[in-house]
Amino acid sequence: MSNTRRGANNTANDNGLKQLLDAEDGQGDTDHVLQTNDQGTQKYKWEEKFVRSWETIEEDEKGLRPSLQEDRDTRTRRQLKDDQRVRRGMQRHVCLVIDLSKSLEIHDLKPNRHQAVLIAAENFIKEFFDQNPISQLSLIITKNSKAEKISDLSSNPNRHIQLLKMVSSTIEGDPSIQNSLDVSIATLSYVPKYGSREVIFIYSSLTTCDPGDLSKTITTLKNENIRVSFVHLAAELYVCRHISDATNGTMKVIETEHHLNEALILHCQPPPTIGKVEAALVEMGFPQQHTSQTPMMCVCHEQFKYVGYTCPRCQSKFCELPTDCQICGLSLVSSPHLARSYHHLFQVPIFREVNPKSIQPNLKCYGCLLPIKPNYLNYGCPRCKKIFCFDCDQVVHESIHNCPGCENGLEFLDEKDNREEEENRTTTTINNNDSDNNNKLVQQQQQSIVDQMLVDS
Amino acid sequence: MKIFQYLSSLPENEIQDLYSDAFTCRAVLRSLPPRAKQYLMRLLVVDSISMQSVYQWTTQSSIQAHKDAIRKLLDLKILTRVPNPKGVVSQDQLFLNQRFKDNIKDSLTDLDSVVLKSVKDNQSAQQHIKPMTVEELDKYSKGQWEKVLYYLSDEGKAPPELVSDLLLSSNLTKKNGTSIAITSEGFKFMLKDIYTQIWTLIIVYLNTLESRGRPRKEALIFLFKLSFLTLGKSYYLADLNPNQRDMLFDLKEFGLVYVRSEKSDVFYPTRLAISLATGRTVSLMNDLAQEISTSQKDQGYLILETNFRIYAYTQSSLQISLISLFVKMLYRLPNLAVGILTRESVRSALLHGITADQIVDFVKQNAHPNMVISGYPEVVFEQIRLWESERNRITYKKAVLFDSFPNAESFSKTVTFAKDQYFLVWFDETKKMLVVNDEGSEPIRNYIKKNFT
Amino acid sequence: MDNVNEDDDTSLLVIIVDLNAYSWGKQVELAEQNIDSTSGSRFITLSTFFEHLVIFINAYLLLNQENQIAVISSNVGESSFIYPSNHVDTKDKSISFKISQSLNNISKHLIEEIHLTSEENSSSSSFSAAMSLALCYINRIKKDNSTIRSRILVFNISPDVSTQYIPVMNCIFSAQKQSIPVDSCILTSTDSTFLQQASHLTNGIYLRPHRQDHLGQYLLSSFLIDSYSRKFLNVPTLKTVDYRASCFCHKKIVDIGFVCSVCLSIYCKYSSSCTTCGTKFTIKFNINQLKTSSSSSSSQSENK
Repeated sequence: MSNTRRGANNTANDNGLKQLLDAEDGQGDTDHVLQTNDQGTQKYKWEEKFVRSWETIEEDEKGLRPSLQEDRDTRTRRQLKDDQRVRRGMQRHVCLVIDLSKSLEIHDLKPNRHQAVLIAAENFIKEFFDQNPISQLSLIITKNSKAEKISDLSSNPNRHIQLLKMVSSTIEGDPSIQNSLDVSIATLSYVPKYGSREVIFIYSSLTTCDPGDLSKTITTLKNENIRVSFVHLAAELYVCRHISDATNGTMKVIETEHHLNEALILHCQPPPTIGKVEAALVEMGFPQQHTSQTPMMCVCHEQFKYVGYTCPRCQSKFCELPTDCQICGLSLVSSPHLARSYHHLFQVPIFREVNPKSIQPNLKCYGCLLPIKPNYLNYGCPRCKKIFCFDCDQVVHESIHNCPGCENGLEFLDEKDNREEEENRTTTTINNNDSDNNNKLVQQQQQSIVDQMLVDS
Repeated sequence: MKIFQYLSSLPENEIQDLYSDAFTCRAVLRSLPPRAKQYLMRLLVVDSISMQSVYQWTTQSSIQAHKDAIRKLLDLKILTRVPNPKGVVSQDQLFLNQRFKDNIKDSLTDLDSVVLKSVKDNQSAQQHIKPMTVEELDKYSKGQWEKVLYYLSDEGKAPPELVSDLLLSSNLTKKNGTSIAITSEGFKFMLKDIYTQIWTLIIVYLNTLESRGRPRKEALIFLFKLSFLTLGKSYYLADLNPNQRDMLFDLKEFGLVYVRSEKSDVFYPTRLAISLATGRTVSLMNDLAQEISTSQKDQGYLILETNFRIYAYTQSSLQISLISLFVKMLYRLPNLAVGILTRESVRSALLHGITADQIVDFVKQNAHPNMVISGYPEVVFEQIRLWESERNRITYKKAVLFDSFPNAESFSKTVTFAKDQYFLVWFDETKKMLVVNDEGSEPIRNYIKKNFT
Repeated sequence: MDNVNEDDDTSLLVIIVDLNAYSWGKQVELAEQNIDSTSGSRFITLSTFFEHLVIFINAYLLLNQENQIAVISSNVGESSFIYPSNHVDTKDKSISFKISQSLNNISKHLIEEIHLTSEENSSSSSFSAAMSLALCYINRIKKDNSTIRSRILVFNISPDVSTQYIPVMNCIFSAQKQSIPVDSCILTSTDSTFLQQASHLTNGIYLRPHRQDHLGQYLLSSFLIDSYSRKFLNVPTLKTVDYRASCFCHKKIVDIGFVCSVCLSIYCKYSSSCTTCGTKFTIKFNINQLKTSSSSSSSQSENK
C-alpha cells in the first residue's frame, strides 16, 4: 500500500520538474495561465512569487539537477545551535517588546506587517511555553513614544495571547526603545538572581523616540545582567546592533514572514549564561491534583471548583500548573514540566551531511526505513554513525530530541560489536537465515562508510 | 441504495447463506461503521450480553449513534435480540450470529489465507508479458468508468449491451423512440459520488442476474472476495469457476477488473474493485474519486455569464457532453468549451425530465472559484426557472363546485358569503354555478344547510 | 454511513514489544508459581504472549483494509523494527503471517541469548530508542497520508530505567504535541511510572491485566479501539497519576524540593553544591529573601 503512495509521490515530483522544464521551453501544458501550487490553490502566474528557477539548478558530472542548497540552508538555519554542553539559564524571565507604531502599516510582509507580527508573536508565545514551561514572560508594547506593560511576568500562554489580542488592534505614533527598556528593567529587576533575564524586541520602525541618554540605560542593562535581542522587520539599525552587542544579545533582520517566525522560534532555546551567574537551589513545590467532595475556592480565578492543585506549603488551591503560589510565593510545578526543559541541556548532536557518492544502494534510513535517496540530503549521526534521511533528521532534532541510534545503547556499543561478531559466527552455523546475516553485514558496512564519509566531509 | 440496505433487504435464509462464507463476513465487518466494528470485536468472546451492559460501552453524548449501530447490526442479522422472559427490556440478551462469529474467529487465528493465488513476478516475466503497473490500472479503471457515464450523457454513442441494459433497467436512461436519452434520475446520478454510482449499478446488475436464473449469492460472494485481492498483482482466471469468469467479464465493463483480452489467462483487480466493499471512498480511492469528481464537485470549472454564455474550463469530453445536455455548444478549444444557454437547449433538457433546479444546482456546484467570488448570475437562473414554468402553465388545486341552486336569491347570498370568507374561486350567474376552494366546501355546505333548507 | 469522511477509522498502529530476555525468563518462573494457586495462571510466557499478539494484529488488520501496522522490538541495548523488516520479503504472504514468523525467529534467538546475559546488563530494555523509532516511523507515514490517525501501543515487562528518564520524557512530549496516544499494557505485577505518565499525558489507555491468560480478550476489547472511536466509547482511564518528583539524592518522593537552577536536578535537602552538574552554589540561599522578593514583586503588580 505504501509502495503505491510512494510511487504517486515520485511522479508528482517528476511532474513538477517536467512542468518547470516545459515552462522554460515555452511548451508547457495546456493550462498556461492557471497553475496549481503545492497547496492545491490556483493562482495566476503574475500573482505568483518570482521564481529564479535557473538558480536552483546545479551541475555535476551527471548533468543538471535541482539544487538542494535551499533545503540545506533552511536546515542549518533551524538547527543553528551550540553543539556543546553549555550552561544555560533554564529559568528564563523574558520581556517581549512589540513595536506597535505607525510603521506596521507597511505591506512588505503579507498580508501586512501588523498581522504578520501578531501571528508570529502568538506562535512564539505558544512555542516558548511549550519548550520552557517553568519560565516566565511579560508583554510590553510600545507606541506613541510610550511603553506600556500589558501583562505581568507569568507562565500562562493563553492569558498573554488574550491580552495581546485586546490591545493590538490600534497602531499609532513612534516606538521608544528607551522607554521599553526602562519598563523591562523595572519588571526584571525583581527577578531572583539565578534566573536569566532577557528582553526580546520585535521592532519595525526605523526610528526611536527616546527621552534621555540611551547609554545610561545600556549600562543599567549590563549591571542588571539583562540580555537584549532584536528581531527587526526592515533593516539593521545601529542603535539596535549596539544594544544587542553590548548586552550579549542577538540582532536579526528578517527577509520574509516565514523567516520572522523562524527568527523568533530560535529564541525559544534558552541562551547560554553570560559570565558568572549565581547558581542556587530553588525551592519548588510539587502539588498533586485533588478532586474534593465539596468545591473549594481557587486562588487564581476566585471561583469554587472541585478539581485543583493544592500548594503543599499553604494549602491554597490553583487550577493550573505551573504557577507561583500567590499566597506563600512558592513555585508550583509538576515533574513533567521540569522534564520538558531537559532536552535543552542534553542535546542531540547535530548530524553531518553524508557524501552522496559513498552511499550504498539498498541502504535504508535508520529511523523510518525508507530507502535512502542518493541524490538527496542525508545525514549521519556523529555519535552512533547511523544514517538518517532529511525528514527524520528534522524530526529528531525538532520534535523527539533523541537520536534513536544513540538511544540504542551507546554505552553497550563496543561490547555489542564484539558480541555481534560472535553471533555472526554462531548464526551462520546454526541458523540459515541468510537475509538476517546480510542485514548485519550491511549494517557493519554502513558504519564503516559513515566513518569514512564523515572524515571526508 | 447502498450495500447495507441491499443486504438488509435480502431474505433471512439468503443472508445466513452469505455468512457461511468467511470472506463475506470479513468484508461485511470491514464495511461497518467504526463503532459497530468495535462492538462486534467485544462480542466475539462472549456468548450473549444484555442490552444494559452494551449501553455502558458508549459515552452519554453519543447515545443516538450507539442505537443506530445496534440497529444496523440487528438489521444485518449479525445480532439477534432475545427478549427477556420477564419483559425487562434492558435485560434483553444480544446474541451474535453463530456462523458470523465462527468465521471471524477463524480468520483471527488464520495466518495465511489468501483468496486466490497471485501470479508470481518471475512467472509473468517468463511469459514475456509486461505486468500492469498500478498507475496503468488506475488509468484504465478511470477510463472505463468514465465511459459508462459517457454513455449515460451522450445519446449518440451506442454502449455495449450489458451497460445499456443496466442503464435502462435502473431507470437512468429511457428509450425515446430509437435513441436512448438520460432521465432526471440519470442526471441526479451523475452528481453522486463514484461509490454510490457503482453500487447503484451493481445492485441492478445483481437483480438482473437473478432474473437470468443465476444465483446472486455467488455473485455477491465473488464481489466481496475481489476486495481482498492486492492491487497491482495479477491472478489466474483458471482459478475461477465458469460463473465467476462470466461475471468477471461483466465487471470489466465498469472498470472493476482488468483483463487484457478474451484469451488472456490472468486478470488484475483495480482500485475500484478493492475498495468497493469498504463502503466508502477512502484514501485508496480518494485520488481516483477526486480526479473524476474534481470536475464534478470539489473543483469548479464552469463560468456562466449574464449574457447566457457558459465557459467550461475542462478537457473531459464527459463533462462537455454533460453540459451539452442543456447548453448549445459553440466552440471547443483544447482546455475550454464555450456554449450558450438558449431557450431551445434548456427546453430539450426539460423535456428529458431534468428540472430547472437541477440545472441551477449543477452550475452552482461546478462553479469556477472566480464565478463564486463574483457572484452567480441570478438573472440567468431566473430565466431557466421561467423557461421551466413555461411548460407548467396550469396548476391544479382542489375545489368544489356547487350548482342547481333553487333560486337566484339563495345563489347570490351564497356567493356573497363565499366572497366575504375569501372562498370564492369562480361563479356564473346565468347557470347558477359556484366554485369554491377546498377549505371553503365545508363552511359553504353548512351555510346552505342552515339558511335554505 | 452518512458522513462518509468523518466516519473514517483508518489508523496506523505502532506496537512496541518489550523483548527483554531476562524479564521474560523471570516471568516464566512467576507463571509456574502462580499456576498452583486457585486463581489460574496470572502470568503468561513469551510464546503464549506472541499467540495473543498475533491474534490482536490480525483483528486490527481485519477492521480496516487500510490500517497500517509496524512492530518494534525493544530489546536489551538494541531496538529494531520487526515489521516492516529490513530484509526484502518476496514471499506472497499476509502481513500477520510475516509478523508471526519473525516473532518466532526472535523467540528462538532469545532462548539462545538468554544464557549469555546476566542480570546486571540486561534488566533494562532500551525503551526510549524504540519510542524514538516509532515516532520517526509515524512521521514518515504521516508525510504520505496526512489524515491517518496514529497511535503507539507498548507492551511492557521490564522495569523502568532511571537513566532513560529524560529520553523517554522527550518522546512522550513529542507524542503529546503530535497528539499520538501512547497506550500501555503492563505484563508484570508492578506499575510502570514511565508508561503511566506517557499514557496520561497523551490520553492513551493504561492497563495492567489481572488475568494474563485472557490477554487476547483485554486486547480485543480495550486496545483495538482506534483514536477516532475513543471519542464516543468508554475506555479504561487512569484516575490519578503521581506527578510528584522524586529527588535525585535519595529517590524520595517530595512535596517541596530544591531544584538546581542550572541543571534542574531535584534535591530533598539543601546542599552546597549540585551533584549532577557540579555547580557550587555561591551564596547560601535564603528562603526568606526569596519570599520577600517574590511577594514584593507580586504585591507590586497588584498595586498596578
